[in-house]
Amino acid sequence: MKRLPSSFRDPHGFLFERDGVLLRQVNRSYGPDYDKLSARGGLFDEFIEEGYLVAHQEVDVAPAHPDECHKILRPEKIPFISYPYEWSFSQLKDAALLTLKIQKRALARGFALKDASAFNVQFMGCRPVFIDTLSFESYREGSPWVAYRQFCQHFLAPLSLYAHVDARLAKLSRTSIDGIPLDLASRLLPRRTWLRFGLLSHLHLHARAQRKHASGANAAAPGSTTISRSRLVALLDNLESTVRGLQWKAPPTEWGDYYEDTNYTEDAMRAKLELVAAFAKSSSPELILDLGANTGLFTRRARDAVATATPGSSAPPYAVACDIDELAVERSYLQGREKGETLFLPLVMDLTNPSPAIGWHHRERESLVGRGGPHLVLALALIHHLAISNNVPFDSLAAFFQAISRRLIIEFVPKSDSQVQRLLATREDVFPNYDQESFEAAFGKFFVIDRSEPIPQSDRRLYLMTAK
Amino acid sequence: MLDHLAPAYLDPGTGSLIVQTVIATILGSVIVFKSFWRQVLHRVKSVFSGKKTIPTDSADEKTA
Repeated sequence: MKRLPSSFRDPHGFLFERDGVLLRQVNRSYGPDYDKLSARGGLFDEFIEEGYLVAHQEVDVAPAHPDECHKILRPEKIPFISYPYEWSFSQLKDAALLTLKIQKRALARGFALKDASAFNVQFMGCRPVFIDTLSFESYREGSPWVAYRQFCQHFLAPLSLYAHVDARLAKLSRTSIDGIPLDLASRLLPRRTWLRFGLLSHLHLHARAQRKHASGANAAAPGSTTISRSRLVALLDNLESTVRGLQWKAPPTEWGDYYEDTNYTEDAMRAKLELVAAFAKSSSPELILDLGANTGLFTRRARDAVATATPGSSAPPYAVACDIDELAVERSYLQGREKGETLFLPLVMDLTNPSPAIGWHHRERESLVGRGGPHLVLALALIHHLAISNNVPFDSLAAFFQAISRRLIIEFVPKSDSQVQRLLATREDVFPNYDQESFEAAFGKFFVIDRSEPIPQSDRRLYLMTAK
Repeated sequence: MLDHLAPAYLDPGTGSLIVQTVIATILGSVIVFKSFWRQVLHRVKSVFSGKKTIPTDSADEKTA
């Protein structure tokens, strides 16, 4: 039995793993609420049917802590855990709207969310789903929303910074694990945001009130404040309209129009797609991890090729499409959401500084490398950025890819390629060993090179490798 | 104030509770005022049109 290191805050239960299966213990202290929620036609049934809440089954297995155990649940598996600082604007916005929708619907049925952490939302492909089954508590008439502060810090602050200042500021969620402090968000937001009622009240005045009462010296007397249910609904409606009103007007970025601005001809692009598909087909991965996916054209092609090669598989392959560019990931997510894709997850990831393990004991949120594997990894049109722009030696690159790959599809882009020439145009060429021979020698230490094919109408070469 | 809360593991923050209460009160009052104002407009309209109409709060109810 291994208790999940991130599951320690809620006294009503926790997650643990046994024999590789994720289980949730519901403690006796949560028994009365759990029984009401899980009754036939109860809130769990409603939310699971709507796809708002991750499904679970009650299972009859030995509890992790028998003295405290009420039930053991086996939640549906989330194929790949992602974190708010890896989401694009619309992913974070959809997660915020889902949280509010759940709180409003719960309230109508006599419950309330006792927390509103963005980490309680995960993505099943391009569909957000609430994962914390124990986040609900019975609503007491007159209670304020205990998670209001957390909602504003986890969702409203990063979304406002995204929309009104700069997308890069949303990454503050990585350093502030309990959401962006409201006083910081308030200071960073432009003055014009004081003219919007939602941001004025939920962010700016909220930050001031927090500062005023930070010492606890001005705390109101117990029992002096109540909020009627109708006023609480009005507050939630206003939070929802404030979130809906936030729009990200993305500036043009280096990679946002990548596929419209490449040095590939249409024929070469098609040939590369088919080559990637043919290579992907030869493995049967549970998860495809594309580390430089742009809008996910090749990721989707590889995923479809694997799915076609293994028809009727009980676990169709799931694809995670990482890219450094927020705009490319935003486009990829909006495409996927439009099509209702549930097996394709785009994420913002800077591979030169990928998500680290953070939080208590470095174990609350996992690093990119720590989140499972080995996978089928795609590294297309990526190696030159890592080797030349970030000066990473081939040996180090190969070791990194080996740590996360069972199989690797990697594209070598030689110095003669115009994209590499562009990278070298503004700097001294200190890469005498950046050539195909050195690349193959370095990767050959960590991988068996199964196949390699030239990409038509280019100087590039595509490799299929298996980790040693 | 805290006795209205279930034994929560999350600190709601005094400042957050106060600002939440104030905003909810303002928003709730605006809704009540809008509803009242709609009723006044309906009564005025019905006086001038000579028809007796029953003021309602939602468009759905009006078309029902």
